[in-house]
Amino acid sequence: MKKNNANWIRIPMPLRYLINLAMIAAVWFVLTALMKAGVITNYWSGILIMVGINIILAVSLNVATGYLGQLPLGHAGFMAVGAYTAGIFMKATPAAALLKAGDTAALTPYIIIAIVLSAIVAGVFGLIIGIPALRLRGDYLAIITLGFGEIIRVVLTNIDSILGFDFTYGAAGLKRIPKFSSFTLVFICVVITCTVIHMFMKSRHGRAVLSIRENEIASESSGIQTTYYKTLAFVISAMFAGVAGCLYAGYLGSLYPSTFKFMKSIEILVMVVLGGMGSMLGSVVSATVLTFLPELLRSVDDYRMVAYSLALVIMMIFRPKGLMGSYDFSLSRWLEKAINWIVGLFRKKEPVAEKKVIAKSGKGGGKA
Amino acid sequence: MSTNKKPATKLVPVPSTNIIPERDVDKRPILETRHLGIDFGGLSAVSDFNMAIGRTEIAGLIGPNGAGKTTIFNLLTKVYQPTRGSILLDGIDTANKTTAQVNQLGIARTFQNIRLFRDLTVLDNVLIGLHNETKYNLASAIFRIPGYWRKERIARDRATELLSIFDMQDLAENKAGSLPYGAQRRLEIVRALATNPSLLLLDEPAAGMNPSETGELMENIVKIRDTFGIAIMLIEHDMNLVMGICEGICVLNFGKIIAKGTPEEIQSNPAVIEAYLGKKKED
Repeated sequence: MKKNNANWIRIPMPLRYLINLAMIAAVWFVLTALMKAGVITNYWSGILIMVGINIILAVSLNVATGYLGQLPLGHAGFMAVGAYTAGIFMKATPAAALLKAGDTAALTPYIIIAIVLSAIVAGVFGLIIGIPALRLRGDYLAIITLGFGEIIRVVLTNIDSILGFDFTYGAAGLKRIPKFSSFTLVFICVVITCTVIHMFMKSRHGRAVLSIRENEIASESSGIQTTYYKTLAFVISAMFAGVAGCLYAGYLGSLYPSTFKFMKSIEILVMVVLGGMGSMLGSVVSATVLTFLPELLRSVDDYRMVAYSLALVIMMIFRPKGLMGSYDFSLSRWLEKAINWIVGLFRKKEPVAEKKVIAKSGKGGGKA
Repeated sequence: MSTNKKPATKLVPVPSTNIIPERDVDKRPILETRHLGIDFGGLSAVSDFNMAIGRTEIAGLIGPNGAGKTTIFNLLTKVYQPTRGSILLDGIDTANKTTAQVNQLGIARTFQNIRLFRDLTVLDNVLIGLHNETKYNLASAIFRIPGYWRKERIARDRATELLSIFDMQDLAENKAGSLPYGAQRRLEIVRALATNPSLLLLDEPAAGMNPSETGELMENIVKIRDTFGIAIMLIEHDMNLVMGICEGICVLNFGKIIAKGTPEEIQSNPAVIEAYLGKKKED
C-alpha cells in the first residue's frame, strides 16, 4: 500500500484547497482574458454560459442518479421552477433599470436573492415530489417524476388563462427578464455547485446516500434513515437544478414552457449517463462536450442530429460505464503522485542497502 | 445507547424455559421475544417464538432449511413486521420502530447472502456503519469546520481499529466487492460492530468457509463477545461451530421451537434428532 508508506509525501489540507482555488482562479482568468481579447467571440462566450448551466444541471442530476441510484426523469421540471421563480422575481424588482445603468454593485444583491430564491422554491418542489416518489423504485420512480415534469410544464402554460392573472404569460412566454447571467456569475455558480456537492458527498451524509445506492437493506440495517437521506439527496438535486434554471432565465431573458419539455430532462440524463454515473468529473466533461458538439456540427447542418446520436451510440458501445466510469479526479492527489514520483527518482540514487530495507518492509506490509 | 432511555415495560422474570448463562441470570436479558409470530398470507412462517438472550450470551438458532431462522432475524430487525407477539430489546418494546431505529437501539446484523456496499472501499463500509456514532450536521460538512475534521479523524481511527480485529486494516483502500469471500463475511461483521450494538445477529457466518477458517471464526466470535461485552445470536448449519461456542441453543422446525437447551441437551434431544434425521420407522 502506497499510502501507508512512511516515505509517501502528503500535501497538507489547507494547501490542497489553495491549489484547487488557484487552479479555478487561473481557469477563470484565462477564459475572461480570452473573451476580452476577442479570441472567444460573443457567440462562443454565450455557449460557454450554456456549458456552465448544463454542468450545473448534470452535476445536480448526478446526485439523484449517480449517487443515490434512482432514475428521476423530471429534472427539467425543477429547472423550470427555478427559471420562472427567478424570472418573475427579477421582473418585479428594479433590476432591469439597474442592469441598464450598469450599476453592478446595486444589482448583485438582487441576483443573489434570485439564485437563493430559485434554489429554495425548486427545493420545496423537490421535497413535495420526493416524499411520495421515493417510496417507489426504479421504473415507477422514473414515471412519477416524468409525470411531475410534464405537470409543471402544463401548469406553466395554462395557469394564466385559468386564474386570469398575468403570471407566466402562458405559451407566449415570460419576456423581458433582465439578462443578468454574466460569464463570471455562471462560473462562480458552477464552482459553488461542484464544491458543495463534493463536500456533501465526502461526509457521513454523502456516504449514507452512497450506501443506499449500493444496498438499501444493508444501509437501513446499519442504522441509516434511508427515507430521510433519499429525500435529502433528491432535494439537493432539485435545488441546484433551480439554480441552473435561474441562470438560464438570466441568460436568455425570455422563458417558454416548451423549453422544459420531457426531452430536456432526457438531455440532462444523457449527459450524466455519458459522463459516468457517480462521477462528478464525468458529468462536467460530458456536459461540456455535449453542449459544444451540436454547435461544432452546425457546418453539417442536415446531419447534425444524426452525428450527435451516432456519437452517443458509439460511446455507449465502447465505454458502457460512461466516459469516466466512477473515476473522480483530484488535482492534489495527482500533484502528490507527481511529487512522489520525482522524489522517488532521487531516492533511487541512494545506497543500495537502504533500498533493500524499504523493499522488504513494503513486502511485509502488503502481506499482513 | 439505550441505557439512558426509560424501559417501556417492567422487568419480568426470565421464563424458566430459557437458557441463560449463569453470569447473566440476574440481569435483564438483552433480548426477549414473547409469542412472536408472522403469517405470510395463510402460511404461518413463525409462531409462538419465545426466547430470551443474556447480556453476554452466545446463542445459537438452528434448524432444517426453511424452518424460519432468517425470518426471525428479519422480525427482530423489523425488516418484517410481526403479526403477533412482541420483541423487547433491553426492556424496550420495538413495536412501531423502523429497521434503522432498531439498529440505533442496539441490534446489528449480517446477512446470509452478503450485502456489502460493493463499490465502496472497505474503510467506507465501516464508516457507514459508524454513521450514527459520527455526529456532525450538514452545514459543518459543507463548510468543513474543524469539528468535521476532528470527528472524521476519530471515525477513521475507530474504523481502522475495528478492521484490525480481523487483521483487515491493510485492505482499507480496496473495494469491498473485490475482497475474497471470507474477507467479505468478516467485513460484514466489522460493519455490524461499527454500529455499536448490544446484540449482534450473525446469519450463517461460516457459510462457504473451510474448516480452518471456521475455526478462526469461532475464536473471533468469542473474542468479539469478550472484548465488546455484547450478546451474539447466530444462525449456523456448521454443527462444530454451534456446539463449540454457543451457550444456549434454540432449535426451530416449521416456524416452531422444538427444543431449547445447552449443546449437550440439544444433541441428545429426540425431537431434534427427528427433525434433522427423520423418524425411525416403527413396525
